[in-house]
Amino acid sequence: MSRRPSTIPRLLIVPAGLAVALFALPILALIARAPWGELTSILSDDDTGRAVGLSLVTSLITTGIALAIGVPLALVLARTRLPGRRIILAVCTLSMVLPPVVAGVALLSVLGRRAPLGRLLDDWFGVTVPFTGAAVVIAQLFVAMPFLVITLESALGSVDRGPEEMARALGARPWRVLTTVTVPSVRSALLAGTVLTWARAIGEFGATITFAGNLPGVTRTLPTETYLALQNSPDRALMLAVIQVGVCLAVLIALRRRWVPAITGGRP
Amino acid sequence: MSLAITIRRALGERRLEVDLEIADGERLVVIGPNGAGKSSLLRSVAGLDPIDSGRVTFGDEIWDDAATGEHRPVESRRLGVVPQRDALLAHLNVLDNVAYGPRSQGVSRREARRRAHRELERFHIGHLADARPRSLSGGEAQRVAIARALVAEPTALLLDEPTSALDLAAKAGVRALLTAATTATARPSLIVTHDAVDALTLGDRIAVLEEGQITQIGTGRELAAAPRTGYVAELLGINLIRGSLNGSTLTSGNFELTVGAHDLPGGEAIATVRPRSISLHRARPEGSPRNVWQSRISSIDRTADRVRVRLVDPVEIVVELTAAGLDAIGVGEGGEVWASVKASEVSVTGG
Repeated sequence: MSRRPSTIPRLLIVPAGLAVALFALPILALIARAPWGELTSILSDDDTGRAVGLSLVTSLITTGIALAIGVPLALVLARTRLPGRRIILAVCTLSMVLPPVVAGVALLSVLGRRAPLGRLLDDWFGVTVPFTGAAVVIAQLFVAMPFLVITLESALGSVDRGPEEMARALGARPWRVLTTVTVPSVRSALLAGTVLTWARAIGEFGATITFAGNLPGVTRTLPTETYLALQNSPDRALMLAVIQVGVCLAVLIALRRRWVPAITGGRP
Repeated sequence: MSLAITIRRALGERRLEVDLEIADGERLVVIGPNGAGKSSLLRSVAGLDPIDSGRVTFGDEIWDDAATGEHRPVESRRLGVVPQRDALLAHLNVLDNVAYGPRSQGVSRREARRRAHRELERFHIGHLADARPRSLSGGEAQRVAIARALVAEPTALLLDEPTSALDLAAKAGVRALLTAATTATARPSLIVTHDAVDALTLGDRIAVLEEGQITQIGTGRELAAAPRTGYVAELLGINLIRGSLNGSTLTSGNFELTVGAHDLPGGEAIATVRPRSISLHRARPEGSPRNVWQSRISSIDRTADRVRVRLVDPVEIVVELTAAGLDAIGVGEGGEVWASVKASEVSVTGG
């Protein structure tokens, strides 16, 4: 690919460089200051293992549930003339801009033991949601699923409807049109939304610690573990942080090839 | 079974008001300028757009009845639809695109592919089976779309500007394919186009749609001979002369015509000449026109200030001129005249 000659003022290079430094310096510092000698001992200790396992399991469950209910939501919002669909979309994506701790408080106010729905669940089924693994997943869903919904909804809204109509004309019923035409046509956006949701879920901290607490092995996820480690063993926190950077980087690189079309809207 | 269409539908400021009946095996072309409502008509017949009032029936099946609210969804009408372009599903190869219809109707994958293969072979495009739609030329993609529309033995064919996105050479091939595919079948075909050559070559009858209304309906010959609106006269009043092309000469029986610049390889071709570009003379004209021939006037149609003169022997051709012009020549029906036309006014397209 040949580059076109630059047409922007040269001075812009200064603020652009500042932006790059903002992102790159902390990561570089993290890698430089991490106690690499303790990598194996930290990786193999029980607390780390439990936190990593919990984070992986809950974030994957969250991603699965997000696909199961978020894809239908995006379809309903993009493909029906539901009255007030704009308002529904705003409500369903509000948590993207809410402070996560506010999300946690909001969840407690409906599912907390003394909250209306929480009390019903407790009285009728003896189920308490807060401070359980389920609470971790709910907190993650609340803040992460909008990324899938909004990515998919906008892709569905802009995709050409011609192929779907052709499929119907050829005799395809709604489920077949959905699975053989609609979903393949937004495949890139679906993948991008899924990855964004998973990444947001595995990194969730504020809503989780507010709504689910930090019980080791039950609700103490990797970000919580990292935050707690910072209080008494900063080296351990550094090492945990580096591990998380590594995981995220690995996922980004693995998906890069399929991920690029979603961003550029073109071919790989 | 015949397709009976009575559609009333609001189209922005205008209304679409169409009554048509397409008989078994008949090819009906709806021609009209952009924005006349052609595509809306086709979408309503397919069941993709609702109608405000009216009925669409196929034999004794009711497809749409605004009065009772009865509606058969598009997927249950068993139609063959060919859109203008981009008909194919981009993520499936050609074979699976053609197999998509049978698959949707519950045929096994193996059997659907077998039928798709047979259909592709029938149109001599079996070699494209594994190709991706993106790698096809416009003409190839349209051939595949036609094969796909026909593979499931549709009740009726709906073609939306099937050749308009193609270049000249591809147009000819697709037109020939459509002619072959729609000849000697029992199914009605509705073809929407703004291309006069499509209309005259594909249509058993032509309905002219202007601003949502059918302004004239009849065979191409009837419309060309007595156009009722300026649009029809301008568009369909063109003369088509079929013949074989060799270099710049088109031979049709014992008539030879020198044609304008073209990039066709030769062989079967259609020359088109606008009635206004032909001049009539009492005696053999002097000067530059490459095509000069003597002919006989078979009829004269004085509609408005323009006069349409039909010539026969050696070739049937319609000439349009002013009433004053005809009076100056002073030859009436049955009389002999000389006709002339410049080669640059004669264009050719593939037959």
